[in-house]
Amino acid sequence: MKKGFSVLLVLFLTLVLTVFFMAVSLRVGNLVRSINLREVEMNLKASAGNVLFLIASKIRSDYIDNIDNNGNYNFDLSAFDEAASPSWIEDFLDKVTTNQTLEGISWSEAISSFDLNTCYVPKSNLQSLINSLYENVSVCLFQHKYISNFLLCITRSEKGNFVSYSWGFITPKYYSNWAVFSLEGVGEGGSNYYYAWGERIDGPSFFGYPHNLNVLGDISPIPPGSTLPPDAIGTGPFFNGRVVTTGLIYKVSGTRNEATYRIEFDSDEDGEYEDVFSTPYYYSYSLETNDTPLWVYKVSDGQVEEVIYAYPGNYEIDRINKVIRINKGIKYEDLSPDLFPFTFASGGDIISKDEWETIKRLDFEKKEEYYEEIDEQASLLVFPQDSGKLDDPDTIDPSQGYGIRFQGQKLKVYFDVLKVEEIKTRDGEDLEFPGLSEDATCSYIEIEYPSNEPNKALIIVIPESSLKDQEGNPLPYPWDAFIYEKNKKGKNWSLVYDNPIPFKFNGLIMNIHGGSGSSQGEGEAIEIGYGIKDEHVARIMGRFTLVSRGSIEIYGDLIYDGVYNKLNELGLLDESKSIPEYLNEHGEAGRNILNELVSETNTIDMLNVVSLRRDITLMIAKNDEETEDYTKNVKLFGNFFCFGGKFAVQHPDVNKGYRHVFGSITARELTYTFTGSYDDWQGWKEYNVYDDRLYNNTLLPFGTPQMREIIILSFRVM
Amino acid sequence: MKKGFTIMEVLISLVIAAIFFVVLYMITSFLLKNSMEGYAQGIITDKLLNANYEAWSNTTSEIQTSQLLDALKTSPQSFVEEENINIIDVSDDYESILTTLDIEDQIRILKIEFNTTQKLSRKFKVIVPLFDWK
Repeated sequence: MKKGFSVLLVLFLTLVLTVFFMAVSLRVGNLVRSINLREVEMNLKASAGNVLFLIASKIRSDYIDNIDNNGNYNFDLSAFDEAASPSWIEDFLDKVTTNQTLEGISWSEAISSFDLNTCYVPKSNLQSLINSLYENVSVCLFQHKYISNFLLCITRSEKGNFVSYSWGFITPKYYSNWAVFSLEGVGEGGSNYYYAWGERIDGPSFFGYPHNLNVLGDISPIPPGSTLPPDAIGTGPFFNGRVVTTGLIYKVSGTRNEATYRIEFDSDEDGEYEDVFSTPYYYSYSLETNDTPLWVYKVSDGQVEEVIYAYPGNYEIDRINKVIRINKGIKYEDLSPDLFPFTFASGGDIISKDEWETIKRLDFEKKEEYYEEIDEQASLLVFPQDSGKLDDPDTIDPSQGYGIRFQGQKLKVYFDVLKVEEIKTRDGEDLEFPGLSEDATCSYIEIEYPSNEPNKALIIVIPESSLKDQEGNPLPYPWDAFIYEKNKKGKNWSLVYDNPIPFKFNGLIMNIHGGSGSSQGEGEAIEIGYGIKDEHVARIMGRFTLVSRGSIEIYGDLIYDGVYNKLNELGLLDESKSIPEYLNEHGEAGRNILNELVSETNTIDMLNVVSLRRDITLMIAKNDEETEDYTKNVKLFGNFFCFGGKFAVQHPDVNKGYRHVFGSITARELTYTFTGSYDDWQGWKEYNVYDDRLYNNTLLPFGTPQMREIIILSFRVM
Repeated sequence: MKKGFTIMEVLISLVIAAIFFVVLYMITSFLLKNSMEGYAQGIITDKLLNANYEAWSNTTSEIQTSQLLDALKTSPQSFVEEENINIIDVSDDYESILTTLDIEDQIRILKIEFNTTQKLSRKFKVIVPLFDWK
């Protein structure tokens, strides 16, 4: 080698080594920097989330003890100061709603219903606790434009250029947050009954101990070569929300063809097929190819006992010998809703009896206390005690919102929407409603008692202009209204007062004795489902809660006024057409027709029907000799709560179509509603559609059964 | 044997050396990146937020620190040994102000400390709700 070349070589190698280690160092440095940044981000997210729960705990603490003089629980924001909206709210909105994804659009719509001009910030003592736990965290609460008990909570943490947000909606928890809540499941007289073909439960549902959830359907095999979707979709019930239950039985009726393929399952993947059975029901999206998941349901005594799931490629179909060989799969011996995707679209959970006990204790044992507190705290006009006294100027405080309480009468309640002139024509020419024109539209409630032979009636008239503003947005209760009474002498009704008396009505009508007596009163029953114009269609304009300590019987449709005309146009108002029949005509695109109509018409109406100790029952007819089929394909718009009894039907021996409930059902127990087969049945099949407004507790009437607990909806950290 | 190296031999040596270093760089970089990212993933992303989510998911009126510890141990990608996690209920340190705000029964304040085998430790405070907020 030439002299000097080795030196150059060493220098070159040194240079290369230097460059190499610089590159490595830079790489490591960048990595460490990015790790540090991520750690900062994570810390900010954690801080923001933790402070949100701190704020929620304060709101809860103040809420559960804050009963107002109407007997209602309300959020108390005395721990917060009113302030102008912070400058960072724009940054928050930009980040949350910036893209036109479905989620971004949903957030934009949800947040737009809050008053973002005014926010509530923690007072000094609460802020000092936050500061002692975390650095640089700001909090803002925003109230819903129309619902004071509905808050948007946003927490913001920052460090340098990094910002993190956590947010969620905080609102009282209500029973109506479940589409169907049956504490003891579906049973009657100790027996278990089944959801079956063609029935639908929309929204989250709960079925508890001892009856649990029982389902009857057909899990039909698809003949090899078919590409059709499984018949099971059409032949079993369908649950469109997440299901929580203490137990699940899936019974197979066996009316469809059994599978003709033998199943061979290599359960331990040793090449041997240990599990062989020849009379299964099985299900797959298609057996034409092997690239779809395979579900195999092993049935014993008409009931699914095991489910085997195989991924595509882990099973093979021998069409010549009619054998399906599963080389690798998962066997489930404990059934859960997740194993029946064609029935439970959102899956579900099985909970233990201990967890059920907790829910039972929390949810059902305080329901009467709630109304007793309302009874003690709220301003109530009491009948017949106050009958004939309302024209005394000292009886009614014009600034106070009132509910109505009956003491043990059997009531018959009519709901309708009438013009002032129609009310006058009905009740007498001399009736005066100061400030209302002849053609003013009003919500009309007539309560007659006793229900079997009414001789007294209380009438409440609420102008539409009190219930909603000119844009159709809901106005908060109490509403300006009128009240008057009528007595029946012979065959004629006569007014008790010269004119209707103005008062403020909060929408609550209770039928309970005062105090906390342990037994049901002699009366305390309510009949509903009546209208003035159409005897068996109650047209409801406004937001009302009917509470009975006794039973409640339903004799006709309960329809929200906002969708009344649209339903009429679609032919869904009368008894002739059910929603499934409508879907047959219009296709599955119309599946969410009821919620679409409510949204499209900006419907503000909502009804709660509450029985504290007895059943709410859909009746066949008033008298045995009546043959009118006015409850066929009945439409019940409302939230139904039976804390002591059953949500039930009388069992007819004729086909009554479907019992549609648009809203929610909370009951100690549900009864079966029909007997028979897929296309030939007696009674009503169930078709329940969850009112989407209940997801976020908007527009709930005064006196909606609360759980004295808060719920944090849509909690997010970003 | 010929004296000295030819230019070709030197060039070949340099090419081999260069390839060697490039490969060495790639391997080192790959290993370092993976180990660091795995480390970061475990200690920061996974554990920190996971611990918070575990704590926030509580819906009961009481929480035992052992419950949270179990949840942390069984959470995904766990590499932190049981003895390296400390959970301390520090609610009493804030008792006065919690009582003033009337939220002493609504939350617990836990301090969670991770001490990894790499002698790196992280501490943070978590608010645990003691009510069914879901």
